[in-house]
Amino acid sequence: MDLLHHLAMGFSILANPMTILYSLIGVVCGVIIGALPGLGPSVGIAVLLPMCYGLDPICALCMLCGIYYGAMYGGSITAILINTPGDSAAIMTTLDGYPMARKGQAGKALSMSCLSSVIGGTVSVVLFMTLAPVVSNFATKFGPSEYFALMVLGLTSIAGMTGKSPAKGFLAAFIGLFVAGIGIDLVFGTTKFVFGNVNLYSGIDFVPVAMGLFGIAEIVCNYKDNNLEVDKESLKIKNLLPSREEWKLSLPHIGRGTILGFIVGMLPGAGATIASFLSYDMAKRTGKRGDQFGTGVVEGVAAPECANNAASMGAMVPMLTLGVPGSGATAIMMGALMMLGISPGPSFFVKEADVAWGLVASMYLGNIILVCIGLGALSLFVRILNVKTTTLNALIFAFILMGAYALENSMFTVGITLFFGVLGYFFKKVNVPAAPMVLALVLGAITETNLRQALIIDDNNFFAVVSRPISAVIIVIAVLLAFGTPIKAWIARLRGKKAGA
Amino acid sequence: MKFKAKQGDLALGILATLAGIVILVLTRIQGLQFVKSAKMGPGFFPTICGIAISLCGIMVLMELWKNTHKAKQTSGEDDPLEQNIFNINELRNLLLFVVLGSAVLLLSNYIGLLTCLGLCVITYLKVQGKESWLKSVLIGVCMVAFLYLVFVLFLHVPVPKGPLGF
Repeated sequence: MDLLHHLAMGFSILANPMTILYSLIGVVCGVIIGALPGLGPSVGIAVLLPMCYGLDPICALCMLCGIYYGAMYGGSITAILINTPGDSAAIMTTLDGYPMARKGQAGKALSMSCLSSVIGGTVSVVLFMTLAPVVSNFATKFGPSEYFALMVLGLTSIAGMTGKSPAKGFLAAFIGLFVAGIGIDLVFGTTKFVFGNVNLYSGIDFVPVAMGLFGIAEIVCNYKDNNLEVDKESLKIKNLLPSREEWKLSLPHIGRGTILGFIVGMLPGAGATIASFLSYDMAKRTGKRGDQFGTGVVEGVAAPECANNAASMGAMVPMLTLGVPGSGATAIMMGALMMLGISPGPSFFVKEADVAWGLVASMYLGNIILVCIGLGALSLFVRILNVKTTTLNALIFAFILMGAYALENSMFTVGITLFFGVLGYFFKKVNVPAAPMVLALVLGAITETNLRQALIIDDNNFFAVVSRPISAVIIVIAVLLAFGTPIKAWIARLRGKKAGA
Repeated sequence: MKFKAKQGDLALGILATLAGIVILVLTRIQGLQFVKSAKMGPGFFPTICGIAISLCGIMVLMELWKNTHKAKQTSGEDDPLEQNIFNINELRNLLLFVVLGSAVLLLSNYIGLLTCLGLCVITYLKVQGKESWLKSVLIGVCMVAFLYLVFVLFLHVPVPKGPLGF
């Protein structure tokens, strides 16, 4: 009953034309950005963050969430139409989506992608609504020591974002941690690495860094024009909806994929890409037409799409209830929340109940908007793909610089954005991932503050900080997450040697 | 001239190792102590980061050595370490963005931020997009109008103004 009461409260907060408008703007912008090759939810949120300045927190949150799941869906548009996933989470959608488009079923693939995204999103909002307050209640028992352990856990999620080279991932993370430490020391009042520059006294905000690393670095690499051509006939409404038979085949996969995606999304570092991979694989193994996967079957589109949207909801659970973002996109979102004066964490659902339940209600609203837009304005989105890349680059660049300025009304932040844009480009070239750097930048200051508080409480005994029961369990999980794979490989090698002997 | 992936990794490893050392030296020069008055000092995190960045740099070099060794054994032609990582068009694009961004930084206080951004859009479209003057100017003016609407009228951001009043 409590849940329904809270949800009703959330909807009453949403019963405001401005909130609905911002949710709509968010979803539209998200779908457009997600549809542009190379630009995913992280870039979308980072680039559009400036639009949140000065907004009411609920409106801003609705817009950010709209961008997030709009971009998750948008990524599949290019995946299906031109075999180019808009972001990594849509890679699996290309396997069956593009062959469907080649068979003249692009509209059907797009509508199934939209509807399965919405079903996955809506079901996972129910899961989120049920789980989030429970996790929050448990987390109210947390003190600085437990928080420090949690932040360590958040930082170890970097292990899941490192790609082929863990050294490069951790390098980015430690650079992020270092940048987070620039400014005035809160306990001793000494300045750290400011070199007399007053602009650095308050530290470096994560927003210009994220806009540079994701936004500018991306447009520098994206200089070639798309030259896309889309078969408009397949986008007519009559060719859009899947048949009853196709629904019958797809629904079990949507159900399983949603639950799997939600669980995977909650795990730090796993995220929507892994969720879509696992869901596709599960659908292929268990599906009636498993042998036809890859040739253009509608279940092959439904399974990864519902999973990646469910994962994006799942990722909100640790971010909002524990203050630990598990992915690049949620790290940027968490930073955005902090910018709006909202502190995600155990007390979020208690102290900021109106914002929290307004957010939950906005997720339902966002899903309704997504299905309306996804089916109604498909041809319009497809036309955006015809805009020349150079034109988009110029517009995005101007928007980023303006946004960077608006952050602190200072040209210094514009310089910071440009600096990290150039750094981000070189990082891209040598395969250093940007997400760990942003994650560490967001978590760095919180980690330092909590460790300091915990050490003061425990008489500067570090062992006491990490040996409290909850902290110890979290630290063990963090160590296993960070070093699980090398430990497993080492054990396997040992076993192999023994067997050989 | 080619700049191969392995040269990129080598440069990254060396630069990261050096950057870590520089951070450690600067921490000492600024008097940021690791432990101060029996408490975690202001130099605690910078020291850890400096050491870790250096170690990561060394690990990148070790990974490179290992991968090069492995590649020599397999002697595959499509070795990712041998691939060129930069191309001239991309570098030109980067240079253009850096020049335009620097111009915005230097000129905004004299001719106005919005004017600068408009000129940026026009220049980029002309140079990189090879668009006509008319189209470039039209897009530039529309973008300035959009930014003015969102940031100045709607969000009340006080932007540096030029002689034209915006």
